[in-house]
Amino acid sequence: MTLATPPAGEPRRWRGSPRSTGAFDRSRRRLFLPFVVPALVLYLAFVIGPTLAALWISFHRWDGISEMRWNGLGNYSALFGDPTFLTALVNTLIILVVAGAAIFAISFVLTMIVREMRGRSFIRSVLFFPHIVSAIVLSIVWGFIFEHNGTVNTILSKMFGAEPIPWLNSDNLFSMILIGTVWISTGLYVTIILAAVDRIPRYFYEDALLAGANAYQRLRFVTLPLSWDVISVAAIFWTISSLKIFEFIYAFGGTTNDLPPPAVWNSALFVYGESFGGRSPSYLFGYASASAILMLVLFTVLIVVLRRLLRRDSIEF
Amino acid sequence: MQMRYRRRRKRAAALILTVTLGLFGSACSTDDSGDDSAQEFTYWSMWQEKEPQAKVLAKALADFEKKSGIKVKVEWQGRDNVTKLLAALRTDDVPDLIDQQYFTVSNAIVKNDQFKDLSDVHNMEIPGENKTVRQVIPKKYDQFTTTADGAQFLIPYEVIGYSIWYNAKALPDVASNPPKTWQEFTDVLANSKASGRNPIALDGDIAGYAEFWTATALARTLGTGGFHKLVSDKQASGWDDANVRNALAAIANLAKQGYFIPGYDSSKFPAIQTKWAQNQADFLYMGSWAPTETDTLAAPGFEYRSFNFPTLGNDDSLPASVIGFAVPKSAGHAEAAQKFIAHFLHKERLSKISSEANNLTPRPDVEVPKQLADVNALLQEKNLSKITDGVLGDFSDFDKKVFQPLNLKLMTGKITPDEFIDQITTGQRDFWAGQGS
Repeated sequence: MTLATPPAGEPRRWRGSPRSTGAFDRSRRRLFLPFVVPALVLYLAFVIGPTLAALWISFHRWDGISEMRWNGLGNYSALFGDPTFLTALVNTLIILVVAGAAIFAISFVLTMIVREMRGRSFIRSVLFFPHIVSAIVLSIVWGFIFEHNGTVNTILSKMFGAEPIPWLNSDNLFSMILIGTVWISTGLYVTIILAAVDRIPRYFYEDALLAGANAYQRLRFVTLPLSWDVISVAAIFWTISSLKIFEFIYAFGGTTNDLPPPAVWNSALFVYGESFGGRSPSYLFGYASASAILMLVLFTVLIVVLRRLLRRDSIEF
Repeated sequence: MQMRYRRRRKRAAALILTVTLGLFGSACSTDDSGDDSAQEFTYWSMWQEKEPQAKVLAKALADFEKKSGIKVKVEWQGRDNVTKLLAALRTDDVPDLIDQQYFTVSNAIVKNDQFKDLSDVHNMEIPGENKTVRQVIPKKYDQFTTTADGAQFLIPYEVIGYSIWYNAKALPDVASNPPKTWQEFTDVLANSKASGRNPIALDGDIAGYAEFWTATALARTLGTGGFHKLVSDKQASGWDDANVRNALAAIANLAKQGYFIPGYDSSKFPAIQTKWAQNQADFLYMGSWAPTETDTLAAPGFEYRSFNFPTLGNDDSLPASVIGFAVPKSAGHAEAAQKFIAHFLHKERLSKISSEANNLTPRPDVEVPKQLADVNALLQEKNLSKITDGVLGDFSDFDKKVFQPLNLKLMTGKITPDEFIDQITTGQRDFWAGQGS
């Protein structure tokens, strides 16, 4: 039972050595461009191009139709004085950190429980289910469940004679959005982490049990180190997904024609709210683009930092 | 060998690029060639195909095609049609006719001069009626449909009046003597509360519906345009004023007295509106679509009546809005689209907006549905003012980010009128300062 780490500083090569000049390598090199170019063209056209366009637009005032008017860094400085943007920024970070911490904590607990249970695959499917259903549908269902005369208040009233709790009022709405986000996302991360944990040979756990390790110690000394690569990828994945959360907040906090109250906007809703959203849209495309670019930069930095923090030598077993 | 490889690689790359871009090009371009341009036009409707207005329009379009020989390409896009128009205006694929509420159109294509002036349509004769469009559309609607310098960006075909709705069967005293002043109104509310009923229904999750109350109260106190002026002041100096405080206190008092139905701040639309239709609350301040939107769930025998928002000063105008046709400046077949506008305003065709879609029209000679009789009487008798005093359309960003959130706090008793004034003064100054950068 040895844990071996590959020698550091020797990146894996995906192509053959430059010196190899066999017929196979030559034909493989010839195929390189035909395979890469279409994807590259699409990527340039639909990702890099629009991102650069957004960057350019963010330096202007633009209503989408008229000529763009140069505004330099005006949109960016206005953003830092805009309480709605600052709220959206804070909300985005709260979703990232608080909801993220909850998702991973619950995922680990569930992983530990589910790992040892019978009917594991069934439970896994049940846990995964909220992630499959459209966030719009879930938000509508949550609306019915938590509104003033909704299911939860009805049950509380019948069981305890409790006064209805205003789950969806302006004080509680963002907390409900956080809980909803955790509920929707946890199943996915349980599934990912469970898949990683399943790879760990049972004898590590048996050994730990014999050594008298409790559940926390098994998590700390067996599960975490042996599934770290997957967990770090999942953490990056959550960071990226949390920035893009949109439809649950939009449908849960708003209505067909109306945006949710600005107090619960995250950065994605801010971009929508300043461009196309609402009964009477603002059409501030320069301003919305500036906010999107700022968030892109912030999250790029966050992801780089996170990758450094999570970097460990991978353990082979 | 190396050279040949490079050349071949370049050739391959060029080939793939050409093919890919070619595919893009063919996918993106639209074939609008053809010389029969005068004989067709494209209409992007704000209605979805199954809505009653869409059915009325579809019939009128079919009739128009038959009579004029002009082919109409119609797309039932729904309320996003103007947003889609905005994207389309940068392409060659621009519709020739759209329809929407006046402020949605003005917000999207008027400020940036992307509309066609439809003043000429006023002089067009309505086919088969020996009357011009101007003769059937009263001038009182011009405030909604013209720019400050008199250009006509919209020709209205549906009118919305905002009034306070109630069930006359349940409230016969109100029906015989509807309250006119704020004092009379609050007396009725106090009476309702004392009788153990919920006086007012409000779906507070729609910030715009909550705004109707405060915006109208402010416009009532300050006069038509007063709230609009207050908001447009970059120094926000008008808020600290006795009249403003009075109007805000009147609204805050509704929450303080518990006049709103429990749960109005924590329900999902249309839960509260439905409760009103089921006699669980007495009054609903809403546009003239209220009966059509609630009648399938209404209590048996519900008799829709409504009265004007009570006075809080001298103003007793009816808050209103209009829906109408607009033509984008770059439309290729504007003339054909204008012909359809005149065609649709024929009394017989337009009256179906009333008889089949149960809504009001701008033509005073069209008979109105029974449940809209009160609001129609107000429409004919009173001066009209813009709903939210025009703030929703003209200052939409300020409205949704500053006014509406504070208003909701005021209407749920979380802040006092004085705190509201302090916070909106700061918020408004900051907002305008940010706009100037």
